[in-house]
Amino acid sequence: MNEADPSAALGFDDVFQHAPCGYIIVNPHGVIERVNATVENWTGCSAAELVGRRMPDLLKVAGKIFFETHVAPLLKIQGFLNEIALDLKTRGGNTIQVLANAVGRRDADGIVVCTYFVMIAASERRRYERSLVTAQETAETARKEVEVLNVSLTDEAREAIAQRTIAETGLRAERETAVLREQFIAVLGHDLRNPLAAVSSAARVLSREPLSDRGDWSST
Amino acid sequence: MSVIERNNVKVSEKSGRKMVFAHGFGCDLNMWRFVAPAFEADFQTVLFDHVGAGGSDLSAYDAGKYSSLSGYADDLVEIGQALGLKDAVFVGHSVSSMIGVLASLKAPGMFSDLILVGPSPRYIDDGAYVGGFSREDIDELLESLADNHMGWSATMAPAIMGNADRPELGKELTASFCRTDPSIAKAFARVTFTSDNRADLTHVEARTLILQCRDDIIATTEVGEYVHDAIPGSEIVYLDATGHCPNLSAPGEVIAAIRAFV
Repeated sequence: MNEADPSAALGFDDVFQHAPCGYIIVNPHGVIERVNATVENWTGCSAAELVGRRMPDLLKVAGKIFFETHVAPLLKIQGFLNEIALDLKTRGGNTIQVLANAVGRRDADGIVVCTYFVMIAASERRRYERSLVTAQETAETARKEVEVLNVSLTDEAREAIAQRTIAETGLRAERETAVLREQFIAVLGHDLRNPLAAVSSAARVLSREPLSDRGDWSST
Repeated sequence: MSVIERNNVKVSEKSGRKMVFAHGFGCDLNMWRFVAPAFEADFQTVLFDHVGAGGSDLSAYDAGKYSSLSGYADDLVEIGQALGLKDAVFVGHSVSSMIGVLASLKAPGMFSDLILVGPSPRYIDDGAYVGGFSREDIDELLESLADNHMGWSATMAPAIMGNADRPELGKELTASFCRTDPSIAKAFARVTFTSDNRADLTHVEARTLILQCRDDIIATTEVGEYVHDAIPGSEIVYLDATGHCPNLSAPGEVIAAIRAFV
């Protein structure tokens, strides 16, 4: 025969009282009917002090608002809720950060008899999640800043390109003008040299002819 | 994209006087699933999602437009115009109470009756006015939404998986409830909890009913009485329900109060 299971001696009630999680049982009017020893230890309040209160009484103001606007409605509508982050108040003025699951228990007619809340102390995990959310928010802010910077850089680049295009267009026009000017001068030069050459050789021929008195006088 | 598509507008079959239901912060049109059907025999019910919530078109979200409740009121007026609403009934929960008030002022004659469930014209305390929250409380809320963004993101929203315990919900409910984009949720929270519409209340001309829960930390009885005093000729009914969502926790009471009023 096996040795008697030592946990059997503890009794099933021990499982409820000293489980590594908090149990809170709430009646259909939202009033706490039962809590386990773990909850007593966390909150520093005895079961007698907690029974008869409501779940929001265990929370700080933000938690109360959240409970009334999200937790209670969802429990009513869908009958269960998982992974809710709650901060339980302690007698000493601190809080215990937990993750809670809740489920409504119904009788054969579908009427809610009570709601079980199970809570796990999860301050480390919640701190980790909070740091992830903060990192996400930081990344999002940085992304938005880069977007703004991108837009302004694109605008500046566009502006610079526009300026340069104007300058190049101006330069090209100048160059074309210069080429035309050279061509004009070349043509002009050519057009001047030809008649000048003809005049020049005609003058040379005429200079060999005997001149009248007036001719002698005007050639000196 | 039409207004009907953008806001996931759902109109019941039987035609009649229109009754529009508007959800508040934190969820979507499913908030009315226990109340709206009760009126389908006598009214044509209209349900919709604010942009950013539920089945609305998230791409239509514009941070500038929705940086105040006025943007949401404009959408409601657009829906009203698309449906040809005249002398309709408006039922608004939480912040949608104020959105409805603003819409009724923007489009006189569209809504002849306003039913405000858990209204608050301002959530942050201001001198003698007790909204219920300090600015630090609201800053903490906005911070804390980040802790639950994983669960409330559009891609990872909680879902019913063929839940045999809830046969009355029917098979069509395999979609997610109260979906929202986390950054939109945070923005909507900020707009809601930093809003101040106290000055708008005196101008309301529609018949107004305020439904006030006895133990609502978000819209306290003090605030409910403030709204009651400020809106000329308004009525206030105290529900036995506690909490902020009597449309879910005590739908029978809500239905009875609305029926008695319209």
